[in-house]
Amino acid sequence: MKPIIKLKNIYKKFGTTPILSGFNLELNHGEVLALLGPSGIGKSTILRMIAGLEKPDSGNIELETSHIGYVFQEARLLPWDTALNNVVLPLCALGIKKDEAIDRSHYFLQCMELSKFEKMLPHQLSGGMCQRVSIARALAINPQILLLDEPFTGLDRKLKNTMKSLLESSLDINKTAVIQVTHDHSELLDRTNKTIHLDQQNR
Amino acid sequence: MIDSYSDNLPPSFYHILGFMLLLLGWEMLARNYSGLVVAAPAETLAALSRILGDKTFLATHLGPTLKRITLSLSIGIGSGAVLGVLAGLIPPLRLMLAPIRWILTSTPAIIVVVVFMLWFGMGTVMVVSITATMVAPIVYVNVAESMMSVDCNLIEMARVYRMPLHMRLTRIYAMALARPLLSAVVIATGNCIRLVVLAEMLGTNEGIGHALAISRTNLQTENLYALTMLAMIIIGAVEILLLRPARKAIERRQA
Repeated sequence: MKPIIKLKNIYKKFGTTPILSGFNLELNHGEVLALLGPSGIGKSTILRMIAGLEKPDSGNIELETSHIGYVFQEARLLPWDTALNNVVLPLCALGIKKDEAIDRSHYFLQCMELSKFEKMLPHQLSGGMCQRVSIARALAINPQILLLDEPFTGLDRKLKNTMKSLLESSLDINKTAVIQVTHDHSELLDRTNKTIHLDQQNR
Repeated sequence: MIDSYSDNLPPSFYHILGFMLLLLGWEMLARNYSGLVVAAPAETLAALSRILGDKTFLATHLGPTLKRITLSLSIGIGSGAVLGVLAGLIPPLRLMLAPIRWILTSTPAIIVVVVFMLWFGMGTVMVVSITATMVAPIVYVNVAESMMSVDCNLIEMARVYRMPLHMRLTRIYAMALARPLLSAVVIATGNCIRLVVLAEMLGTNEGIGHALAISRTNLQTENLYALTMLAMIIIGAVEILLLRPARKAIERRQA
């Protein structure tokens, strides 16, 4: 089976500082990869390149889908829209009819235990709740690829565990390929089946 | 001390107090100077009432002025906002527009009035062209700068979720721009009405500005004051009926 993500011989530098040098990666449907390593080693850059937010200086990126969910370190919610609208909007962008988008958003916000807070604006929610809205937004588009960029950073242990289990129970096990960036092993999803440690040798 | 006053009395009390003091000062000035120099408040109100009751004035002067204000504001705000959005999205365009923006914001309005009178002659086209040209840069500067300060994290999020351009413009940029745009529109509206009256005074045969010029020539000071008051009432009406509700709606949306 063809991998859903294939990164071949990726070079990337910021200014004169090389971040990635000859980096390779293959990920199949349903696989969960953890990208580990210290800060500034290029973990987030890999996610950003897969999401199309950065271009490699050289090398190939092949994706089998454009359905990508991205949970950033910060929730990145539209501050003037309710939690529900923040989830609905990307679905509408995909051309899904509004009624269906709303139904699907209700479901994923319910999965994130946020049903009571759907009508609230981001500033009325706690940091953890905003991050759960952002996870609901990523999952609602039914992503073939889910990119998690240290989504639990800054949360207490109990909330981290809650969010981890909510996320895992909402994932489509057979389809979604997940890449999780973290420098904390305790944040790894239980079904992680691939791990890459990035270090200075990747530069 | 100031806090204790503001705690006990509503802000409107101070507005009314300020207005009453202004009226008192005006009345005192009117009593000390000739009616040809300073018209008394009562005379001015009587003249205003007479003017507003005169159907010929409404048709010949107030109507054309309101039409010119509406046209100038629509064209000025529209073009300023569109160019501001484009300049925010396309940095080279912003650089290209910088000299024009600088010329328009640094040239005294009276010079623009004289030059446009030469170009367009007398009448509505001249008034609207001048006013729209002077209003557009105010809106343009606010919009272009706000476009550049839109949270780039939200733009990245929109890119990841493949939001189309119209969705980005309406759901991200427009929302982020609403408040600074409204501030620009408030300033632009005041400037617009002042400029329309100025341009009418110098280069039209109808409109409040033209009526002002006639009143000045005929030394009808109470009419002059009444027409000035009318211009202020128009600015106030736009502020209260349009801009304040819009500001409240934006504040509710962005609370």
